[in-house]
Amino acid sequence: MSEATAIPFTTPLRTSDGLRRLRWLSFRNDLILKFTRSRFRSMLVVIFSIVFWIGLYFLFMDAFGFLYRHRLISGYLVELLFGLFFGSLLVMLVFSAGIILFAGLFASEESRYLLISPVPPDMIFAYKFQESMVFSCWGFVLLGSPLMIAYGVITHAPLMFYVLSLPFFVSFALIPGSVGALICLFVTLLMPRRKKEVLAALILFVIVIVAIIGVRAWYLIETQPISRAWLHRLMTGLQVSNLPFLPSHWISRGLLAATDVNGLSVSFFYLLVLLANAFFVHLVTAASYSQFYRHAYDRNASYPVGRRRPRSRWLPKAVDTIFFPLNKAIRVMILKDIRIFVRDPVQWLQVLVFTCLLILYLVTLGRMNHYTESPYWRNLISFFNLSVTALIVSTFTSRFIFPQLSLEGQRIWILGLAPIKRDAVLWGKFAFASGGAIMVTVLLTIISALMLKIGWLLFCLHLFTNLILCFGISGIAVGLGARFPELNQSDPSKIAAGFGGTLNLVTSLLFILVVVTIMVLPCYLYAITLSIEQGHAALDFAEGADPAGLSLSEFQFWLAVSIVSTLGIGVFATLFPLKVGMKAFREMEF
Amino acid sequence: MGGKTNLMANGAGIAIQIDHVSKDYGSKRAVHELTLEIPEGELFACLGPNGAGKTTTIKMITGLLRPTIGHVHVAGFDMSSPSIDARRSISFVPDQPYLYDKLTGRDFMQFTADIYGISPEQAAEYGEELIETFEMTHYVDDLAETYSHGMRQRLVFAAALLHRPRVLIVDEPMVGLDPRSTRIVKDLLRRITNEGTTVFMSTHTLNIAEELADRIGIINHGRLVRLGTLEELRYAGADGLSLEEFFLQVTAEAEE
Repeated sequence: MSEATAIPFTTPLRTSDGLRRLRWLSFRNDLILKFTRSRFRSMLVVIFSIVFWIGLYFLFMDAFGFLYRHRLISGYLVELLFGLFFGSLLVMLVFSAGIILFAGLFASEESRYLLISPVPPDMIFAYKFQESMVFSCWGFVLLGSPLMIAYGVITHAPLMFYVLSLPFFVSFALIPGSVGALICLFVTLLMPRRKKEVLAALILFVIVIVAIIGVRAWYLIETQPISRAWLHRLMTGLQVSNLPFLPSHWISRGLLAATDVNGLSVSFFYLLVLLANAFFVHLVTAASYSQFYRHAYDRNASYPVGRRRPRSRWLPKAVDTIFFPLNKAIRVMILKDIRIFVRDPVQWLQVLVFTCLLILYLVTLGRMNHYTESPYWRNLISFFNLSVTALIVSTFTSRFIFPQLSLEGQRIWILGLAPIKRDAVLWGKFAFASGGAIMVTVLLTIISALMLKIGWLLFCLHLFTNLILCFGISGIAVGLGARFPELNQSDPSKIAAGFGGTLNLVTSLLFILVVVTIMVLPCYLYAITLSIEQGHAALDFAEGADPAGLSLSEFQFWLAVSIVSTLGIGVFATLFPLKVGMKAFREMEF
Repeated sequence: MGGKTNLMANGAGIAIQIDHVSKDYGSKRAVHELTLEIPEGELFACLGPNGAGKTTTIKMITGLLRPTIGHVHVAGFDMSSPSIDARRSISFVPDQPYLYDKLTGRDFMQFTADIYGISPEQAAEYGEELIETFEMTHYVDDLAETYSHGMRQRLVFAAALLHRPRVLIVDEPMVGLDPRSTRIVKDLLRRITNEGTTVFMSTHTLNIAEELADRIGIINHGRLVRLGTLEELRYAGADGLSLEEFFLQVTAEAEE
């Protein structure tokens, strides 16, 4: 080797080139690998994404078509709808960018490596910020693009509408992303010991605001039947999401103006307002990171992350009691997963937030006396509630249960070499997932039944459907999690967003759709008969609904068919993925 | 802050100066009043049991953490707020090497050259030398995700030396290396210190410290409890003790 004379450094540094090349090479190599080693899997992802996108597109076309036919497509109503959509995205992007950036900038090995290198702090921020925006926004793009295109097609928007959508989206996303990054920096810098509490307080704050808006909107609409006036009143109640100083208002106004050739100057005005604010907020954020990132990193690393936990005696006993039919090895696995869940506030906080929001919604249902009196609406709303609950459970299993085995990562050998059958590991995870899901959903089903005053038969059917859905969704998540593990990935959101995670989510959604459709059909048709018999004007908003329902005997027959089919599908959806997962896990080499 | 002080003139070529440094983690003090000077071209071995404060000391030397009290200077730069030049002067090889899994070894070397501002010609020339030195020719064009721990460690070493740092900090350098790789690393560490590079090595492998180090410091409970050459340490303890016996004796004393 040559003499170790110091290498003269070129000036300026090629840091940004280096980071750009790093991203490009990582992306390219990853893509090549995906399409050479697992072509089938990658093609499935692409096909699923396209199908999902097309499905959303037609859904939005239908929704906007409905509004268009009822002359509701113009005016403040659509502006409020857009405001609501972008307002929700605004809040979600602030949280999502903040949380992803914290993981990337303060808790990753990569940030440690880059901080020791000559890469300037603001460039590390920019590099990780781009990454966080991609992770935060992919769902936004998947949802937003069919929405915008459908709206453009329905309103016969000019080409400029589609051209302007991209800069509108980018500048809009930059604002909540930068705000999330700023909050992440200053919370870490000023309150390194209270990060989780601050996050909880912020989430609570958002819940309170959402609850206030919801209750206010509800009081405005009172118990009036659904009509155009009702919809207008509801939208007025939600006006807060479209306040003139919010970026959601600017993007809504700007995009809506772009649907008309005469409104392009207004659209450009709002685009400039968005761009100016986006650049300003991003500049302030980048400057803050340049100044304080190192200090914040030090502050975060200087406080111990773990706290000593008092040894709980009741939890092992409770697990042994609740899961007594299962063998000891499975109970031990359940106990381990419960402990991890309880000690990770990100997991239980999200479950708590969604459960509370659903309870709030279900309790307010009690005010809709007009609809709960009609068997038709009561039946429809109760099954809608069941579907929403199942959909939320499926998103949680995709986010938290599916990645569980992957997250064992380099510790997987502990499970692999433990003197227990590998199947027991998966049965433990299945019992944990389905047990937790059943606890939450049964509570919600009971509240829904009480608020809608549904009869015992419907209540029992809901409980049955609920159990089938919980077991099926959990079986799919655990089984596919073991079949498609990503042991090198430590970020659960990336595991959930990968091929296996996407497949799990899509399979769960299909399963819910099939089960709910099978169960709802006989009940729906019989409810029509009951409504007509009882003289309820139940179908006043259900245009085109077939008023021909089922007789009691027909209902009983088809209900029995539905129950047997659902049971069969449920058993298959639970056991088949578990079997596939167990086979893969048994054959897994460490 | 972060500016270069004239340590070379006043401190007779001191590469690392740790001056009354303490570091707190919340209410726990991990490093107590640590004072240490390491001259240029010295291979310094830092020994200590688990949780003694070695890694915290390394993090302060690299500028990743700031001392709660005191100052750390490396190559004349204050590491409380290290400038780009300060970070160009050092390299760090952690015990768990960080690599980008979707890059090949050569891509990673290129990336290192880019962020350290080494010209492409020099990077290519010196990079090839290092690839040969660490015997990476047969795998350097494979993706890093396929590497074993030892292969990763060799690549990280090569990348760390690419910009010819004035100070090299290594944490457990021999973990996971096979005997041949260990020999390569040992020879390399000895050679670069002879050429003027300062090496700060944290290790549990006492025979490596015994074989390579110019001076050895033993840290326990965040305090520097012994410092000197191997001979000085033996003399200060009991003559005829091996370094292992001496280390166990010193750390046991500290426990009492």
